[in-house]
Amino acid sequence: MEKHIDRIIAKIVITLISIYLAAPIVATIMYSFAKSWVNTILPDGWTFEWYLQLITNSDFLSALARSIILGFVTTIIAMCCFLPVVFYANVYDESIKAKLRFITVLPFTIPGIVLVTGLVRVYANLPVPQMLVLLLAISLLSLPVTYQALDNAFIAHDFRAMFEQALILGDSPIKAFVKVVIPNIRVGMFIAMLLTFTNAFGEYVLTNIILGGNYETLKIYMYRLMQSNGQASSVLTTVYFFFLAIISIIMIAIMKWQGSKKAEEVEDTKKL
Amino acid sequence: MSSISLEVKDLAINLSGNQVIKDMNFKIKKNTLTTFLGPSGSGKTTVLRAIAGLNQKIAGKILLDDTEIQNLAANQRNIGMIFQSYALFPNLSVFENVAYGLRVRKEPKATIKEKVDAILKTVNLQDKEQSYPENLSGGQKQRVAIARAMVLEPKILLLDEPLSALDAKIRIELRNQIREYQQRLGITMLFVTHDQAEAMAISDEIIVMDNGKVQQQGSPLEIYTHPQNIFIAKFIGNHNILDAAQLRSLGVELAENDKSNFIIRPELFQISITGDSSDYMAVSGKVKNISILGDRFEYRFITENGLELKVEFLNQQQAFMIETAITFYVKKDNIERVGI
Ligand SMILES: Nc1ncnc2c1ncn2[C@@H]1O[C@H](COP(=O)(O)OP(=O)(O)OP(=O)(O)O)[C@@H](O)[C@H]1O
Ligand SMILES: [Mg+2]
Repeated sequence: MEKHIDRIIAKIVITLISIYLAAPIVATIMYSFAKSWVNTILPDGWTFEWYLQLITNSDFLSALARSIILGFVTTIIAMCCFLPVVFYANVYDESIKAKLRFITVLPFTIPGIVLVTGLVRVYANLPVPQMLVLLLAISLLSLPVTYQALDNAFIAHDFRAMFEQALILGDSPIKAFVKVVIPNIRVGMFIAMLLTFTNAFGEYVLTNIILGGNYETLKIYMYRLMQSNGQASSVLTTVYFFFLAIISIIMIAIMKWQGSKKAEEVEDTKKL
Repeated sequence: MSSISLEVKDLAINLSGNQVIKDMNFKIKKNTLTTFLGPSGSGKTTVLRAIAGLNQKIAGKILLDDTEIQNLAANQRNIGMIFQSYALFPNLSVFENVAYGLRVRKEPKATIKEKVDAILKTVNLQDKEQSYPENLSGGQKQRVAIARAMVLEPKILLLDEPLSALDAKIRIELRNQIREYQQRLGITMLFVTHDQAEAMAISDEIIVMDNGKVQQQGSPLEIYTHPQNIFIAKFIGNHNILDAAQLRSLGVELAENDKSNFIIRPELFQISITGDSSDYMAVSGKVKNISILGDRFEYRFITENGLELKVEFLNQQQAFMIETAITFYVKKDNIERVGI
């Protein structure tokens, strides 16, 4: 009997929390389709007008382009920097992994604002393009997720033996890396790239402080819009929300697919 | 042309401050199968990696067909190596795994097809050409790894405990197959194992190593019958090892200052003598324990003065019961003197 009441209370609490979290999203989505929504419980009518306005707005389009560029370049930089390090740590020197793990959590412990102030101070008077400072800073901030995703990719096989085997079969180290390492970590690499991309795509603090109005990304544009046009910003928020949702779904699907493949492999080896 | 394939001279290897290989010297003859036999941690893998070019820092010389190779990169030595984990490439089919080295060498397509097909036939995997490594059994993976190495006709093929991941029955089958390929195709092989029975069964020569040093090199029979020191005697067989005092207590006359150790192989005990009884050492005592090993019986035997000996007989007659009082004889010539 008591258990029963516990269950009911638990259910109610969970429902309330869900409503609390979902309500703003639902409201925002509704607002983005609303003709006008003032002093009524539900909007007066529905329209796509705001969406049309947004996608024809040149400010929006260039902000989107800037964010995509930022995402891409950061992803490339992060991969070029971290992939060789993670590979080296896994293949040649497991002992540096402990140190790496420590370094990779640093971005969690140092608040973004401290990092920015430091970066701006150090690089303000040096002839280094601000854009480059920003790109490197964002790559660095994405280190915890990028590193973890890449590191996981190396668990599945004996990459050291595979790499060395390719050398013994006559390949150069670079060719061996491209031919036998990359194809076998591609799923992990893809997830790491997606995570780094979304991280950089949605970055706000660093971009705003280092480049600010000179380089208006989608996030910065979103905040500016929020202060001027509520409805337009709700459209943007909705679009952004679905964009992230889709990326998350893709990642979950990949991981599930990989997980089931691994389980199958385990089954297979048991049969032998 | 000399008959030596590989020669290792004064090899010393230091891994992170740890002198793992000390002053090692040995030669391997062409077209033979030599095993590197030693306990875990004795440095077998380290030497193999040095020969293959996977250890950067070594002292000493490595000669392959009379040419120094210690300064060549791994991809320029024309040496084959098979890893314990097989190291098959999971993203490539069996065919592509085997063709890998040929493609690196940019051989014509038709040649590649021909060579890969031939070698897959040799290792009996022609019907698995299009399979992927994840769908193969352990033994099949092993044979793909062997084919991939052999198809390049390396000057020497190194195998690092290639059978240790397989179960007992397949191990025996595969080790005989490896021996057969080696003899049929005339390959020089250096085979690492810590299993003395495996080494005995397939080798032309055995190099026993311990503690980063060669302890003894010789044919399986030589090593089994004349182990040069106690370590080898203990490692290679089930020999009885006695010191001078113990042997004296069994009635064998030795010089006063003789401090040697002696081995008596368990299969050399007899229950009767032929010829002159002064050629024999006689030990009387009781059977304490018997293990029936199928083809033979292994007894633990306690002599009258309390020494425990291992004695083996073929399963040809009635076994001795426990507590049976009995006298065994060993020819004095068969008592082997060994170093410390
Ligand atoms: N990177 C390293 N740094 C320091 N010591 C090492 C390193 N690699 C191996 N060793 C040491 O070198 C010794 C020889 O190792 P090796 O792997 O060659 O032995 P092994 O004979 O192949 O043993 P096993 O039968 O277990 O494979 C061991 O004592 C090991 O601890
Ligand atoms: Mg080893």
